[in-house]
Amino acid sequence: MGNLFNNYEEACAIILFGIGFTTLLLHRNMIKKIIGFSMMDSAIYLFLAAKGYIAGRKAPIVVSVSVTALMLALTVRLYRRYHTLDIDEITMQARREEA
Amino acid sequence: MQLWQNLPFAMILLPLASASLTSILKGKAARRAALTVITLVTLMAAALVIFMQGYGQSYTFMMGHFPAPWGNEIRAGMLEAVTALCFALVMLFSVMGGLRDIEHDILPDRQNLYFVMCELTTAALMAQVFTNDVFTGYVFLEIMTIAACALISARTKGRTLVAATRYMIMNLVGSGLFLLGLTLLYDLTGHLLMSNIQEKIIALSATGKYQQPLTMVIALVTIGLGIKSALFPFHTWVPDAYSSSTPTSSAILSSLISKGYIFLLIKFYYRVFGLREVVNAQVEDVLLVFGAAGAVIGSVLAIRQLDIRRMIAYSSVAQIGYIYMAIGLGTQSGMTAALFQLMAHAICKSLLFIATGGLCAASGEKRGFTSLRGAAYRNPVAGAAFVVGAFSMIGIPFLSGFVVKLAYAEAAVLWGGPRMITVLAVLAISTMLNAIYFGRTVVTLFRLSEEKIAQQQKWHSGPCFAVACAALSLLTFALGLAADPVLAAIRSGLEMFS
Amino acid sequence: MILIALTLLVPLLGGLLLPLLRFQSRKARAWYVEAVTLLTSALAAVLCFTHPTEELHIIRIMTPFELVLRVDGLSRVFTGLIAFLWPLATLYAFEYMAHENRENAFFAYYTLSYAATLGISMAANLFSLYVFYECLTLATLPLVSHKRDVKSIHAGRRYLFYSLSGAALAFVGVMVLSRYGAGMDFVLGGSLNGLASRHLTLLRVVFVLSFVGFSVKAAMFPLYAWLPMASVAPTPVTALLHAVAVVNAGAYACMRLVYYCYGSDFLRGTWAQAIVLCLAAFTIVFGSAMAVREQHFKRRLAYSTVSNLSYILLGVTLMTPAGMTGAMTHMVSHGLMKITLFYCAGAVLVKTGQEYVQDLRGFGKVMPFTFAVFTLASLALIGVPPLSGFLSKWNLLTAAAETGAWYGTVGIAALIISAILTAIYLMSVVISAYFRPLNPELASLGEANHDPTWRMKVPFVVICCAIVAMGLNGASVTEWLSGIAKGLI
Repeated sequence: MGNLFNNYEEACAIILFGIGFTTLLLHRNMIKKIIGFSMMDSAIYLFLAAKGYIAGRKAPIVVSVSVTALMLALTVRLYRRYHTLDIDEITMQARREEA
Repeated sequence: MQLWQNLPFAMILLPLASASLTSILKGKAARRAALTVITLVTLMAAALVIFMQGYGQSYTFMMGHFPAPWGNEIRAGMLEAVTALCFALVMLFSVMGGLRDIEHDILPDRQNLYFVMCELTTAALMAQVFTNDVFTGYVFLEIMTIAACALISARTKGRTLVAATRYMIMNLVGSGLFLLGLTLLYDLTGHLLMSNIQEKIIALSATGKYQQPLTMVIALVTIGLGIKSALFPFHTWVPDAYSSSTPTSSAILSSLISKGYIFLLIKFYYRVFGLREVVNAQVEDVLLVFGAAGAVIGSVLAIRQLDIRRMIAYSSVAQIGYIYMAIGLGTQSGMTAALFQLMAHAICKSLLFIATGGLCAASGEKRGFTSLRGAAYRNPVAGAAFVVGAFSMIGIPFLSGFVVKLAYAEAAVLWGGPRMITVLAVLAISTMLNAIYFGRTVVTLFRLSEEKIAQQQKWHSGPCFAVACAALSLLTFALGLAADPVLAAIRSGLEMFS
Repeated sequence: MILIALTLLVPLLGGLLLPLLRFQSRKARAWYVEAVTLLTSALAAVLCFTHPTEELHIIRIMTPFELVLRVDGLSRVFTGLIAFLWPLATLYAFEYMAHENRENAFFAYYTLSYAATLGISMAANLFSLYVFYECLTLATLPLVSHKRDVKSIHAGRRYLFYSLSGAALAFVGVMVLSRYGAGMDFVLGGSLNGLASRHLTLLRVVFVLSFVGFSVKAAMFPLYAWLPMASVAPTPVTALLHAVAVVNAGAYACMRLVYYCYGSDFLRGTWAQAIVLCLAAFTIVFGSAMAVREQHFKRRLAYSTVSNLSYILLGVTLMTPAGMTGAMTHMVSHGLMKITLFYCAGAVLVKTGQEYVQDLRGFGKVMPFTFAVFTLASLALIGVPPLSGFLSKWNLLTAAAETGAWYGTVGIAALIISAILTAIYLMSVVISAYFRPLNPELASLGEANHDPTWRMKVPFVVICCAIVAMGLNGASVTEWLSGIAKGLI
């Protein structure tokens, strides 16, 4: 328990990662999924910052921003076509469309 | 430092640079540019293989000559060269074979962007093959994911949008876990270059401390890449993504992108953790079990499909399971078998997807088995190519799939014990299941009453399609007839690896 | 070495070139195909008589798996049998196939199957045998579903699935033997290495699996169902491939597996032998019983094949030199007898269109020549002396009795029961053909002789002579074959 408090940044980062991860995986709403993903990524940067990030590289953050943008763009296209943000509902509609 | 040693660097940079140029070109010109660049990359890979044979050892190449940890390192050996050649060839023929479908499926003003994505994927693949830096690996992994998403959603018809979204979500989960693993790894060792990390890990494991975090890191990297490469049971996004996109995209996704992740995983096992650490962590056993389960269940699911593209997609799930099963043996011969299967399957699966594209086009863009009856008479080139691919998947002698079976069984009997029984049982069962669904499909393609054969309207998919089909079929035969050089190259590459 | 290469290359190239030559007339194609098969058979005959000892290394697929051909004693028996029957079958096929379409494709695959069968018979190691075994499956698949109607498509699918699954099981055996065998080559008496004694259970399990796998082609219970279904194929195919080449290839592979890989000493008296022997004995009785029940003429003969192939497998599973002699004798004599029976069925079908047994009443007058031949072959198959069937059954019976073990008794019982059933299902056809009047609706057939032309009659006469000759020279045939079984030849 003492260790946990000593390394509170890491503990906090892991908890945040967990929250983001479950949101991304389990939530049905697309926007909330994207928020989950952003949380997950931020948690990792927190972790790196806590450990003293020396390599001086910015690339992961760039990746994260572009992925978020891509996901949002996909969401917009999905919403225009299916008029909902619920991924299960969208899948159902797509299946019906094909049949 | 010799001039040819710049080749890997050029193989990454050329498609990357050309991708930005291609984005301002028009459709036709973009197509020409992409094909030229990919051909060049293929030639460079072939040249690298030849030079490598003479050189006989691996080398590292520092971009801009900055030493670590500021510079970015590339490392090339025999295995990297052969894999790069295989990937480049498959890329080239996948794009060539699907040109007609690309024109048909994708809006004219977006076509140049499609070729940009092909070039980006090539660059990302080459980077993953050659990189010696774990974070560069991660960055290009994400670039590949984004490009893949674009490749899926490029076709506007059908459920590509949903497929792309589901693909993205699963892949983000995988990337997240992978990145977390990398972060922990960095935390443990303080390095980002693969060789430095490995030194540190060897020192760490000698002290006996940090065993649990290390196991955790190995597990995270494995699961992350496993999800991204559609290891059973994380395969749920596969059928939609592979079956609804345009044939070239399906071919690239199933035979290159998922293989890129697996190659990166093998690289991590050898160059970062060291095979012994991985075996100690007992990750191998888990991979063996999940791989074996995937190989069987993927095939069972494939039998139930009524849509030929979905069937092939599920067959991919089975084959990915196969690769993981061989990795799970945790021996040098198992790894050799896995890498051979990686290449053989890359060639064979893209052949199948391309051929299926031609068969469906000749049957009025329908994919149901009833519509495909006699399709081999309407499009003989595609029919012949499909037969080659399907027989290779079943493992008929003289085709690459047969050598895969041989290599697997040999690796298994060398090991003995329960692992041998598992692998041999999976081989036998999966051959039977493959015989059911690929055998059925082949018979269906030729199923036509005699009077109707002459009446069938011939469909021509163009010379590019024929060249791609012929080349991929020839490669399948070549790997099946003369596998020894390739296997020897893989073995020597694995020795240079560690 | 060149001779072996030529024997394989002539039918291979002959088959591959056939579609490219674009024959305009049926006659030209007939001459071409007959020339190719005759040339191959001549080469094979030379091989059988000279039996050169050198090996032909074709290709190394992956170290140490290499395709090697060689002619040893057992190959001489099988090669001789197919080399004798194939040209005759081709001759018969010309007349029969006149009422079928796409003869180009048919004869191309027909010739390729010849190459594949020769490959099986000359394979020098289990790996090569396995490879050619797979090739045979693929070459014969288009022949089975040649007609392209629903029935033949189903039969083809069933055949493909059964054969490939059997091969998958056999593959496991090949690979395990590559580890526990001393080298890959066939050695009479077995070639297991020192490691084997520590993995007895594993090797026995694998033996049973690979035996069952190879015996799929020999239609052993429980994987026999494809054979009766495949009787929808054109008669030359059912006759040659499903009474001679394909099914015998399965039995031949089992023979190689038992006597040349594991070795009879390793297996004799174990539970592994008990399992395979009981399966074979059961199939003998089961096949005959099904044949009695079946009213479709060709399917009845197909069930008879199921039963008779297990005679061979029974001989194989006795695991004594005498058993192997019996198996080889029956392989040859059954090949001769069954091809004749199928040809009669085919002649009836092509000349009068009748397929069911009850429609053949009184046909002794409609097709006197055909039914005379049919009667002779039937008597032979039942085992009436001095015909060849008597010889082979006698050899099997004495081999079973010699073992003196319980499984010998099982074998004898199966053989006797099956002999009675064979008499029932064949003589019922013969008796009703001669002693019952024609069915009223077929009365018009009785007005003329419907026997086929010389192209079909020549094979009949030649094979009948062979049946009689083999029966009359029983002692010397047995002596020669037992020499092979003991490794003297």
